[in-house]
Amino acid sequence: MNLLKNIIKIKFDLLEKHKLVIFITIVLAVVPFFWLKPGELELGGDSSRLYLYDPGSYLQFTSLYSVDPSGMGKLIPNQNMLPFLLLLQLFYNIFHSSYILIYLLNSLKLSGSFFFMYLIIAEILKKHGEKDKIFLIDVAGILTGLFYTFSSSVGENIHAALLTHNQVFLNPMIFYLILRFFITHQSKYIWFTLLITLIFSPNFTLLAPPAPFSFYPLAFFFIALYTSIVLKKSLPWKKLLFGLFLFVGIHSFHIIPDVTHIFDQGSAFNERAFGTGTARNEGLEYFNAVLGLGKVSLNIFSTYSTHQVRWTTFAVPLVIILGFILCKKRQSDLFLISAFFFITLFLASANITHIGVEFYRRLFYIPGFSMFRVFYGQWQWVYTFFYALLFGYSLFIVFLRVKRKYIFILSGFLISLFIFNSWIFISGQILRRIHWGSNNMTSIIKMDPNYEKTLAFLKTIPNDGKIFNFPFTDFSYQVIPGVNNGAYIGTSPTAYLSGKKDFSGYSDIAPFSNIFLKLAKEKNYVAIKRLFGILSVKYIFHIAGPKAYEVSFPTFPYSLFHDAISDSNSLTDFVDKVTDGKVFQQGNYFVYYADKTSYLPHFYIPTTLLAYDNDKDDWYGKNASFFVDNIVSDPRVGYIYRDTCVKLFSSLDCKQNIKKENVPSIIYKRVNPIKYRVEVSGVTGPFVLVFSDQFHKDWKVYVSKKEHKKEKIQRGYFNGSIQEYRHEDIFFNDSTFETLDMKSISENRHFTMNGYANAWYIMPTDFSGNEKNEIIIEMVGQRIFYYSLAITFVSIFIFILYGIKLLKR
Amino acid sequence: MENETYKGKKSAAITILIIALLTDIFFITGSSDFITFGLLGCYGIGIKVYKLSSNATFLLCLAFLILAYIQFLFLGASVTTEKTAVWFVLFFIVGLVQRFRE
Repeated sequence: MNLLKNIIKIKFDLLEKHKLVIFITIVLAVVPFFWLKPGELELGGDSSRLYLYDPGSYLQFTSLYSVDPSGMGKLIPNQNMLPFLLLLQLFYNIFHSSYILIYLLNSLKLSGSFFFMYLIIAEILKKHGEKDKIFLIDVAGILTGLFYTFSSSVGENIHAALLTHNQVFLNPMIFYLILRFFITHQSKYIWFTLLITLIFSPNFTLLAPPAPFSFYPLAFFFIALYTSIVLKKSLPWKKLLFGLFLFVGIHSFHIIPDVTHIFDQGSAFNERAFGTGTARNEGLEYFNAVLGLGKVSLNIFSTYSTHQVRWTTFAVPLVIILGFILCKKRQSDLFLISAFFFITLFLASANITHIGVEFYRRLFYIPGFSMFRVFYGQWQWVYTFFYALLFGYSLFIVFLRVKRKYIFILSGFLISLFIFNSWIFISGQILRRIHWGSNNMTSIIKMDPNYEKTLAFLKTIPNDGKIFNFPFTDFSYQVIPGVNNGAYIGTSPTAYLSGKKDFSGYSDIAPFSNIFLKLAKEKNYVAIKRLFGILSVKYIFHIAGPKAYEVSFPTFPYSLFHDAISDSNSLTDFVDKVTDGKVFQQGNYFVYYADKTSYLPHFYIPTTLLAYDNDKDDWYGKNASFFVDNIVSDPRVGYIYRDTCVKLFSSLDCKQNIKKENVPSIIYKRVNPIKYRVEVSGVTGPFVLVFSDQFHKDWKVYVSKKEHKKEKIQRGYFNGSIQEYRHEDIFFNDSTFETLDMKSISENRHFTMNGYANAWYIMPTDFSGNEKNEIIIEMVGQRIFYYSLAITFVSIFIFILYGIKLLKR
Repeated sequence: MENETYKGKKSAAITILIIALLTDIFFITGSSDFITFGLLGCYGIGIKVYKLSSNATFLLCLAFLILAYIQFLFLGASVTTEKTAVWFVLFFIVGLVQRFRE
């Protein structure tokens, strides 16, 4: 009892001593509450923040499987967000409000960055901590925290924050914990570090490497040097290695799939990481192109982009210089901080002498360094971090020479400057950016209830057909106008929140992007319907009205589509010509059937194979118009590249259409986005099975030994020759690993069809002579996630036991 | 007398250096590593010969900072602002090394 009383007393004493710091932390935590009005959401940006709108759906449709939820279904591991999404869903279950989730995250960014920057400076200056100087350390710490929190690195891009933006508070938080660990050798700091990295695992993914790789190597190096040289303490190697081992174990669920993806020779990440020729050259070319954007002066006079606040920027560098002038003794810790400040300034600016630039170019020969080609953006956070440390230390030195009353005046003056400089951020105005190229459309959106009802409808669509969105954007984003003068522009909510694959823009339908725009301009509706068939598009989602198109967005993000379809009336007319009946309407949100006669289900067996040559060189260097002039009436055509055709059929056959008589019937069922069952019956000869998802060698076909249990058919096509069972979304059950002991069909018989899709040449000998057979199509890369998830669970178990052991101590 | 001559030479040397630096900032288009490292080298020699302290270097940095700030206010991140800022950084590094060795 006495022990408990003493602990409580100590805690209260601490609170009393640091009440100003705690008060400021609380104020900063509350400030973001006033940034948005009730009902407003701020979700857009380069990677969107739909996880704040509906974390549960985002988790279900995005983060469980190594496949892109949109468009062609490219393979990419997405699991790094799992713990973060689980936490968000927990808060969503409590508050039932996306607005609160957005507020909580922004609140954490402000309060977390301030509090931990304060703690870091207080820790570093502790050795100067005679009784009468504690107050000076506190004030220096507060000002450091405020400088960092209000800096343009934290605030300038918050309106379009990627998940990596969490580093604004994660960097100082983890730095402080690791610093304390190195100094005290206490394992509890490692434990808390691991917990935080687990919750915020998206910030430690290898697929977004610039953020962690720009900060943590330098941070660890600094802390190691600080501990060994300045404090002259030994480094806790054993505990550190154990912590590192546990880190890898806990993060296995995303690190191992990420590593596998990086080593996948087909992936863009592989090229970036290891392409010594191409990746380095691309990175270097990009660096050379943007070299002029690295400005030493902009980094020293760090400010927001509003010109009126430039005058406030003299204070921090002035304090630093004064600190050095007034500092009489050689301070090894100050020297160390300065060295890291200059290193990061060089990395963030690049333009320090021609020799410096040439040296920077040589850095691109280091494998993986190309990730820093947007150097002026990617190094800014670590630069601001060390800039803040240097400022805090220098300020302390200045305070040592100044009378106490002037310290208050100076501190008040500096705080006023920081607030004035960053008022656009503190007041939340920075969130209310106008979308580039738009007609006064803000990035703050009040969701249209009609859109939410439409999204809810899309979720209920039982079949596996894909959705094509209009208006069609310049890249892969979708634009959702709100009831206010705002719009969401980001990744498609249809794909990410309803689990339906869709196509929203130019990048989504590669290699057909240019040909689609050309056909739209030419009003070649027949060819467009044929293209929709190849893409397995069953529905058209049209956001009608001029507000969603030319009035609000006269250029970007519809600059390419405007050239083909200039206004909303023409677009409505166009949609009318390519659709086949309305399915749903709510306000200006329409869902139609795509042309039913041209529709090709997700799986189909071609009755005609049409070989084509790669003689038309478009943007992607491929022939993407092979389907345009096809005159075969049955839409079940498989377009095969002639070089592939001759490997499976005779050269003579490949010179003309290959007709397939008596093709087998199929009934297919989605188990989950990476696994399908296809019941094949009436097999009398070899046939080609097409699966309309992006070709990848990891899609395998297995012949099942089990008989498929009878289920209810939900829909049939082509007089019942293709049918669909009710689809499911089973992440894990007793059949998850059933294909482990099955042999897959040879990869020699797996090829690209229709310019992008998977196809297999299946022979009757693949089956055991039965007329009815079940085959399983599975993306085997997902297994890596299951195995690594098991490693994570074991590691988390060890982690919990470790925590209990520390608690008992 | 000798002391005064020494002080005179020191002042002259610093004045010539400052003029050279200002000439580079305002009158020479583009930047040249030859000039940059040449002037830094001369300053290094000056440190040795005239026993300039790190504080003198930091005072020079302060002057560059004020100049860069004024340029930044009126011209933004212009070419001359950048040049001044780079000189500020380079002299800061020199001052830091001096302070470490003192």
